[in-house]
Amino acid sequence: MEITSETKVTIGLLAVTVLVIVGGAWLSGQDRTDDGGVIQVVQMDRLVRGGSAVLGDQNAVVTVVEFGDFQCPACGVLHRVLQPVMRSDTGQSARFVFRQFPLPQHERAQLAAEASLAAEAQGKFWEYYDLLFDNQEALTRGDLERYAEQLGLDMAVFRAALDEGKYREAVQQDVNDGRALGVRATPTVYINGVRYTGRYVVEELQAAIDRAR
Amino acid sequence: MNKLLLVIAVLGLAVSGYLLFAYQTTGPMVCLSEHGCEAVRASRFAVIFGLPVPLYGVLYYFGLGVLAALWNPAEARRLRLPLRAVTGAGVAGSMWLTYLEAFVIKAWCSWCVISAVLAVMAFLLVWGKLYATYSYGDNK
Repeated sequence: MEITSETKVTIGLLAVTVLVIVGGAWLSGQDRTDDGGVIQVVQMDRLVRGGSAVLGDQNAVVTVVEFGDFQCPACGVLHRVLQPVMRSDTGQSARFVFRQFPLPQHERAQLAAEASLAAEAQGKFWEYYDLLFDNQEALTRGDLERYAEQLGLDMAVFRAALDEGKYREAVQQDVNDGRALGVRATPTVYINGVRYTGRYVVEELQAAIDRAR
Repeated sequence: MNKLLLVIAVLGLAVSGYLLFAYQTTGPMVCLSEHGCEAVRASRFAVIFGLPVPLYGVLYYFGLGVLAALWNPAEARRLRLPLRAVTGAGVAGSMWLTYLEAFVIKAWCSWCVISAVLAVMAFLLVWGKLYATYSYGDNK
């Protein structure tokens, strides 16, 4: 087979491009273990507030904090991974905190966030949180009320809270805290103040939590 | 040289190359479908057989590019089998990943979809009539 110089140059250019792509990507993966995700001790109080939704013992050794948005698909993926991790933690050595970070481009996320806090006020945050993430495509006002009814919440109180925007400020405080901590995207997860940069796979997340114990 | 196929390979390298870089970090991604790309990257299908999925894309488009560069009408017969094998594998892989996006991950990664479209185009070009009428005559 006769190979022209044009062919050689083309193949050479392709090879160089691939080497740059693979080499560059490999190198950028190497410095992933920098400490850029560690929160300064002074900012730790921004991670968990008195009113935050917490699952687990107050004195747990490990604190996992998620800044999330009920309408974001990646948060839905994380939820499916986090759920078994939370359930398997029977020793209560870890506690899980959910902070609201509704993104402006998700038009249903803000009200969903407020509704989840209204459920929190009636002691049903985590049940409500599961319902919202299991039904991410159905988050209209009517849907939010339907889930609340399912959990047997006091509907008069729940509706009034949404009408008045009772938890709007609490949501905003979570968002402000998140921004101050450098949260730019959802979900952002912190394990004992260190940003989790691994994949959302049960084994990997569990391993990261175990390392923090 | 088959220019049309080469253009597909170069576009594919750009798309899969970006994805490979993005898969090395957890920062926000440029995506035409909001957070779909991040959802797909965060899923357990982001890494298959220990390697990030975009790496398979980069290798595929490199192979396609080399074959496109080697192409000339006189060698059509000899290159037919490797071309058919490479584009067939590309389409099969893309279909599987697209299926996962639609029914398992339930999120769309725009770059992955663009790559799947490119793989289908390459496949049609090599296997279809388009190949016979266009590529034989038009390329030197």
